[in-house]
Amino acid sequence: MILSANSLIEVQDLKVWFPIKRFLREPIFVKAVDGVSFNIARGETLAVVGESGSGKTTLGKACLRLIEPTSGRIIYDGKDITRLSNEELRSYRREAQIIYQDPFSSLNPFFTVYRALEEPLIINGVKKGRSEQIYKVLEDVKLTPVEEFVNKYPHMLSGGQRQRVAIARALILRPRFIVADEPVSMLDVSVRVEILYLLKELQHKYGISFLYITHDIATVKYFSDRIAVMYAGKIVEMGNIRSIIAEPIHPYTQALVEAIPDPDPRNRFVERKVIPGEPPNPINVPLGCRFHLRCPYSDRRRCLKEEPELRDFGDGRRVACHYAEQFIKR
Amino acid sequence: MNVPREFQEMTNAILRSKAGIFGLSIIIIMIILSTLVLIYVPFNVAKEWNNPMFWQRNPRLALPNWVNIFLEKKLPETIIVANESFRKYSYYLETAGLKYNVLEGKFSYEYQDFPSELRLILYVDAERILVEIKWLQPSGINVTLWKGFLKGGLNSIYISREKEVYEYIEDSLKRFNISSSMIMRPEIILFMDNNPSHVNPTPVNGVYMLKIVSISSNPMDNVDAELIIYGKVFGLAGTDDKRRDIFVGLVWGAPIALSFGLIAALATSFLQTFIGSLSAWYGGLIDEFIQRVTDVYMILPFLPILITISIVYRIDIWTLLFIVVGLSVFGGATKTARSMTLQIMTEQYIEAAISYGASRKRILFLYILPRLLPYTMANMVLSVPSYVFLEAALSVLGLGDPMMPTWGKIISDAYSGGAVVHGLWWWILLPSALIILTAISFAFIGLALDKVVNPRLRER
Amino acid sequence: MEEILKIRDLKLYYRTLRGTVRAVDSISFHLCKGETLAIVGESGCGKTSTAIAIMRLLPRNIDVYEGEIILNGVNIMQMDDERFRKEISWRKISMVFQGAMNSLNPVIKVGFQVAEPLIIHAKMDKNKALSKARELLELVGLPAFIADRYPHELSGGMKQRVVIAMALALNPSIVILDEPTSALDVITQANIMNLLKKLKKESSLSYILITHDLALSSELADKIAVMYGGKIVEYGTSEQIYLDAKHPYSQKLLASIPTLRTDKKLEFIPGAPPDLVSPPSGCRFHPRCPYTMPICKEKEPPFQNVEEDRYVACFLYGG
Repeated sequence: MILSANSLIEVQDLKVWFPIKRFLREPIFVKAVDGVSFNIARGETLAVVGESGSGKTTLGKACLRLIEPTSGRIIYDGKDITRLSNEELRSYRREAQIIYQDPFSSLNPFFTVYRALEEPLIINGVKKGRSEQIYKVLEDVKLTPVEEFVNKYPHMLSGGQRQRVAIARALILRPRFIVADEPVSMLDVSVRVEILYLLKELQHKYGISFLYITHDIATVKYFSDRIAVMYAGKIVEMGNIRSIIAEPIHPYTQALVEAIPDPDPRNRFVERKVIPGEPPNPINVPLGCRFHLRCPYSDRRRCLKEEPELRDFGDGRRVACHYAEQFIKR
Repeated sequence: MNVPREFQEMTNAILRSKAGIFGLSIIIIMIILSTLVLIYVPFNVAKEWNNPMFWQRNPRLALPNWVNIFLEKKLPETIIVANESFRKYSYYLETAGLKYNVLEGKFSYEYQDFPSELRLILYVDAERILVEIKWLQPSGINVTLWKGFLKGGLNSIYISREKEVYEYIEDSLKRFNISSSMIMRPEIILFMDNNPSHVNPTPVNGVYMLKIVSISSNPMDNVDAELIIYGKVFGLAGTDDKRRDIFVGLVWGAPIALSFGLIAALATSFLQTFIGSLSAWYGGLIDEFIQRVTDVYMILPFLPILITISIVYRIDIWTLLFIVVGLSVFGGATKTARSMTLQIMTEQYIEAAISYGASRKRILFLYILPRLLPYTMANMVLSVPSYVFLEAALSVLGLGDPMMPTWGKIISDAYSGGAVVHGLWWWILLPSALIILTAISFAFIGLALDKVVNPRLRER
Repeated sequence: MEEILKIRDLKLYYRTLRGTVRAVDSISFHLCKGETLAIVGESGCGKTSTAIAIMRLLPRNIDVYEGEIILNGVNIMQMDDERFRKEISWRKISMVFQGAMNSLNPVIKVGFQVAEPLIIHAKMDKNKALSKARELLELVGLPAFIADRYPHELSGGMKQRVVIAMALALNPSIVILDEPTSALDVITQANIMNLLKKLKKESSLSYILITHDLALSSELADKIAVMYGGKIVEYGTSEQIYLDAKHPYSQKLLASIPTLRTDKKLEFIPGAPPDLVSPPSGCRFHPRCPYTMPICKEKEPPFQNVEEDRYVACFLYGG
């Protein structure tokens, strides 16, 4: 892959395998992420969509070195950070942050809002102007009037407010890259959009790059332009969100898009065309194309033996299917 | 209120449940009582407890005075006729060169039972005196108690016990044609009416007088007296066989029991939790080591070791505390805290802290340990009773602190003093009741806290 | 259509340390035979409590439990617990609990677990119950040999089907589905929804679907009841609600749902859902409502009939 000059973070053939130790035998591996490559430009969002167990969260954490990658490279701002020691990671830790799914467990219940935001500053040796920074970041995430919130404990806040605090905590060190791991899926429907808009606004304001991890394709286009669809540890399709929804190429993406209902009263009269089965166990992924067992178009020969590569179809669209050409309607 | 939820829930749980309020109020009363008594008892109890001289003005084995409420025949309290209560006149016969000192002590006796003992103390400020002691009943019967020479200094005449006194009494009674059988004791004879049958002797109520006439040679010679008519009831908790006021022992024992229980519980709970948390958070060899040590510690027989140590070395209560804490540095809570930490470690705010660069030590102290606080507190409160019991049990076995009056020590004294055999119920029941009350009150608070710690007991 | 369930002024309050939680506060609705009613609302609006109240699966800390639940013309609120358990529970109304697939007993074969309600409630003998269980598993699209498997050998979607089979065991006329696809992946969710559609068509079941997901509810619902703060704010047919919602909350909620295929500017509702211990005065939505009038703060809007079979609790429509 060519290192594009504009990308802030570039992931090359990243693999995260978790060994399962067995007595007196070779360990077997859970291949959570198995050869994933992508890049994110400065100020851009890449959405990673997949079902549970597809490896999307592991991928996000590996990008932050919260989980050690087994192989592959992570290049941040032109610098390979894959093998840096914890000491050398300090500056990366400041610049790359994470926002979690569950605003109930992502805040220390013993810290007030102020304390929670002060903590990263203390740890990173910021001594001057802490409270100015905290007030500013709380205004950024629209927890206003700030005075009303600074001395509250997490349990006194609603889910949406808590998630704003978590966002503020990620922002306070002025990061350039944020992994947002399902930031809205635990929130009430009525506040989800608010948070997504807020993230987008902050991105414009500070030029932050996001890796937006979600299982809900429907929310992607409100936050991101580019999407990568993951299945069993691999990216099966990548490209512009609108063209992927309008014209999914990979059979898995097709099934995924088909399975999602839009609120429409006519839905109840029709049956959805869906594929059977469930994602494979990551300990024991099928040989060949990982989707072939559930794929309605599997040829039962090539698909069983040969693992399809992620091929470029122009306009940023890349698909990992032997028969991708057949599915392109032109 | 702006406090972390854990604390709010704990205080709520205690203050909003009947059990919690009950337990807390008992403990508060106990604390107030023991601090007040520390002010009211104007002497060093720990120092004087084993000094028999200090307690000699108290009756032996007296019942608590509140038993009179339930009795028809009121038992006597101790009456002390001291120096000032004596009318004193002295004169010096220059011709004979004799100094006369006359002391007349009057007291009224209004009880339906006899006193337990009589004692007269004479402070003789002379080289040698000749003394005659007389006893005047309200009925007018006049008895000579004793006649003879006394040396200077403090002379204690134990009226109830001294054979000589008894002979004098018998002698003088004969003159009034009152015969007394040999088995009757002086304190009974001296207060008895002259009912000839003597089957059911009752004391004569009224004003008695003790008259002491002393003769010596020096005009400056002086004699003072103190008459102690020991009662049969004393104080709020009675006395023991060494005349000690059990109430003083009980209230003095309260802060000892509370502080022993609390310190032991506090130290063991916090140490165990900390070590368990440490074990889980650092993992690897540290975890393995701590867990194996805990396993060994948990199968060590705690009480036998403690008893052995107590027998070999006579230990005071604070050494005992130290040993108890030392023997339970690892324990059940270590295991529980470890598993709780493993669970807390999966929470995202821990990983978030790693992601913004917090050190491992910082995360352990600021992010994990506070979360274990509710559990530690509940565990502590619940283990206070067992340490109070432990101290009492060791004292009962005679292995506790030999000097300090603790509840367990009082029970131990009662046991060796034959309280069980002789039915001296107050001596055993009162300290036992206090031990049980303390245990129950902590257990109640623990019960209330359990609702916070144990999610199964929690209602939405 | 034949009305099989009618609920009038149902109340369910809980006692907690913080005070009384008015989880279900005087709600009324009805359900017709073969029809699906979706109860939609955000978390903590009282939708699951409504299900609990109908199934009489009350926790210990109940404070108020009253109102009328009329099933086929009989007020089942007046039945004693024993009779309710024997005649109504599971036989007439059954329920698929939220996350029920994770509560299957891990050490008992799936077949026995499906047969359990048959043995307990229908007093069937074991072998007959087991063969009926196999039929039920086939009905929900699982091969019969699944009966001899343990839960851990099944995938999430399969377990959810087993749970649905258990709910169908005694041929109930009403099945309450409480978030039947939460924690399942989208494709599996679509599969389960297809199954529920098929079952509904084949056996004229009535569903009460409880969900927070308005997009998902459109897959099944004939009627929709929108709940907010322990009350139903709007009730109507699917078409009426999705295409022409009347209550400001329903409108806003629909406008906040991201859609996949159409482009629209999403809206959100500022503020947070009410605390059911001390709900706002008057209309419970008034602090977040864009059309608040003075009366909204003072009086509770009546739940009024605005069109045939359509109810709205809002002063914008009179009252």
